Amino acid sequence: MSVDSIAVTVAAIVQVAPAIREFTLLPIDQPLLPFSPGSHVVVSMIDEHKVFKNAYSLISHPWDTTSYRIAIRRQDISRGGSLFMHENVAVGDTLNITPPANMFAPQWFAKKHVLIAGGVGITPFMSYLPELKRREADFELHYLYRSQLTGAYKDELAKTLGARYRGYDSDTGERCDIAALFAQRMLGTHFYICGPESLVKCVKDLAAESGVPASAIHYEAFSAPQPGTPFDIVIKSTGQVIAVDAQQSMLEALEAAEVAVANLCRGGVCGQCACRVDQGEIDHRDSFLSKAEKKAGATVMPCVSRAISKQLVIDI
Amino acid sequence: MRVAPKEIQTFRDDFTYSNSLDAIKRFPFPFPEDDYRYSVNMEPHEPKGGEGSVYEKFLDIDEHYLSEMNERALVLKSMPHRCLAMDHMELACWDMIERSMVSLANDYPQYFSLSCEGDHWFWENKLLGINDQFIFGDSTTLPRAPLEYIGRQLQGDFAILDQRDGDLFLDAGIITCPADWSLAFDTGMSFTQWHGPVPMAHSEGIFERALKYLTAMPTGKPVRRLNWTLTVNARMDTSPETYHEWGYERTTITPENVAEKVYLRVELQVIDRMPRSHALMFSIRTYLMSLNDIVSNPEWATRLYRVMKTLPEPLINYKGLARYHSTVVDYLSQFDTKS
Amino acid sequence: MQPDTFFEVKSRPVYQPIKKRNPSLQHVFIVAGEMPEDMATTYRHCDNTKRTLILVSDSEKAKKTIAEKASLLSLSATVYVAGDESFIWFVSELLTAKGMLPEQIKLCAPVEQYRTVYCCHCYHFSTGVTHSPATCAGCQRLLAVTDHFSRKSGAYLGYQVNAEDPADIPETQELS
Repeated sequence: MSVDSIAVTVAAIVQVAPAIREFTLLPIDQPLLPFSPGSHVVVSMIDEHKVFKNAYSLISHPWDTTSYRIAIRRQDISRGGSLFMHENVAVGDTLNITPPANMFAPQWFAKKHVLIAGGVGITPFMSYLPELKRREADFELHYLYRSQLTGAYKDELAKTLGARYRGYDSDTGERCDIAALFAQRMLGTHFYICGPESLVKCVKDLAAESGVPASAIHYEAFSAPQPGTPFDIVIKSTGQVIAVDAQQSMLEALEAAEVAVANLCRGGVCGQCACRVDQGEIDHRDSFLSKAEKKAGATVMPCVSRAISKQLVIDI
Repeated sequence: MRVAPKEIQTFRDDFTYSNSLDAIKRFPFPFPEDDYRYSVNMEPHEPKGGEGSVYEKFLDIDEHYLSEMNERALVLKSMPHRCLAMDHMELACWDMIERSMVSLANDYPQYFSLSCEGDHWFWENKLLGINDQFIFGDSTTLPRAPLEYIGRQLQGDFAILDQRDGDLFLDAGIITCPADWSLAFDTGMSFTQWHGPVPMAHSEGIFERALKYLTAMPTGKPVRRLNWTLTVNARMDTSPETYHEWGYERTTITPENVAEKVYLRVELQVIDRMPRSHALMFSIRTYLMSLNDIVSNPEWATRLYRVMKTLPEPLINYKGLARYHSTVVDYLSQFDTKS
Repeated sequence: MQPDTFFEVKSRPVYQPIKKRNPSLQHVFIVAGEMPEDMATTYRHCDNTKRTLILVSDSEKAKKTIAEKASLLSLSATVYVAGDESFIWFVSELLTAKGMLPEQIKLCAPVEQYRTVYCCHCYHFSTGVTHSPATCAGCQRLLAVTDHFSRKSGAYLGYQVNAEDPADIPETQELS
């Protein structure tokens, strides 16, 4: 009745932009489920003794249960999950994925949807399109990219979406006037942003200045755990000491030591993995806790945050 | 071996309803401790209890299937609005059709079969003599609205919750055996709002935690929990709508008839994420067992006595037990092993 | 069912004092009856080129006008509403259907305590209810007026107070 992990085979790999690779995944012994627009799966990648787990948006048609597709941007400065996918995964390989979860679903009561994608942030919107069309929803897509690195699917999108699509290639000097996106908008317009943190912040700030209600802005910021200095976790209840190395996130270290911690986005935005901290100084890297909560230093998001002190005592 | 559905019995008027020995054995007794307290108490909906257990399959079909479908039809005949779905819930209702049909056909192949040729689906329900074909997703090809169509073939009430803005909204349901709440009034309410009348639990943060947990649920990982109350007679439809018909029954309990007339009413709630719509399907499967049948299990008898004895007053009142609670406690006291 | 007198029912709306929503570019004030003090203060703080006042004398007729005006509102608008409880929630639901978000709709705490009560037995809405129990204007049953509120219908749930024992009728109490 319950599915923890789905084994899939990589059926195809396509370079869809200079820094972006698309993977087609086929089910092996279990059928795939349809999913809701904006869903992601967590891919487990096993490299020698290390397990990387990263969340990737599903870009295939949500009702297509024959295969799933994901597109991954190569991040050279990272812990290696995307590098692993780009360099070590070949057609025919097996991967394990979680069933789809969704933290970025469209607000279907919107009178109009304005989608703003930055680089690989186009991915969740790919699964929005079939359902937006099926519901005959009013929408626009603004795609900001740099053709030397990103811009996956831009031609296909321009062709199928026509006037509803605007592309901005900053490598050729095209800039999107973001403030103008908020002018003359009717009641019930909702804005969705997916891309680097800097883009998300810029859009949110400009929206606020234009008097757009905060709850009309929806965003999924792509942040993955970053490397840092090694430190130790101490489990308060058992005294167990778990080492977190430079390339590992706290969550990954806990999982490797078989200490289960609930989690969902693995990117510091959903709050699911929150742990109480008894002792130690936290290096907060998440977007979930408030300023006050971060200052209080009693809660940490192990999926992305780390420790400034040599040790962090976690009350679990 | 799971007991097959038996002939139709009634949950009203003459109350011919009865539980077989098997039904008594598999009853989901809801009290793990002597003191009852509200808690989030959700666990993964995994098979438990072996073959024939109420937790064996995703949806539980038991000996009362035909009786419950008959009762549902009676309720909907006089009050059609006991099943409703707001327009935006159509996709979620189809998600529920798929989930139900696939699991029923898989789990009870002797009663149900489903075959699909692309969007063209063929469904057979041998228990009700249903043999239908339809286009998946096209409500015009079904003999009834999607939720009503599937709801009339499933035991228990169902609510479908729309998820938006980090909250859950009661936007569709088929509710013919509620423990005293009104779908018609509560439609459109948010999670905290429809739980508004529940005493004590809000200040303990129970609903806040439950909401956080539920909104983060992925597909493929259903959860379950148990809820309970007491009902006089084996009455399924204890709705506010019909309260003026059954309310007086609470004054008819005596020490002589308490064991026979008072029923422990348990709800097995299963919550599952619907894939296409991102809605949550909330199944409220109701089991009724008379005190007479409960006390045939000595452990249950003792445990039930202790829970009833220590039940806080706000809960006694909220669950509508005030008039006969002490009669129940007096009756059960003979089973307390401590004294 | 028992009257919920021991605790605050969480579905009952709690009203916040009215404050101007910055940086909204359009402020619309809808008032049925007298304008409450905090709303008046907010009104005065709004630039007179950015504010509109709609005074409502007949709630029923006003509903059509409000629906029409709502279609002309911009994305950054804020609407402040004052009146009796079922009126303000009717307006809130109407504006929500037009696409307004909760943060854009500011409702003033109703001054008068009368309620609209939904009878769960005959489905009738009885208006202007000030005491519990109250007689249902539809089926004449004596209803216990609960604090369980539906925003969609702007009404409180009522159920027959003496369904269990016809002679057991609680003392009439003023609703607060």
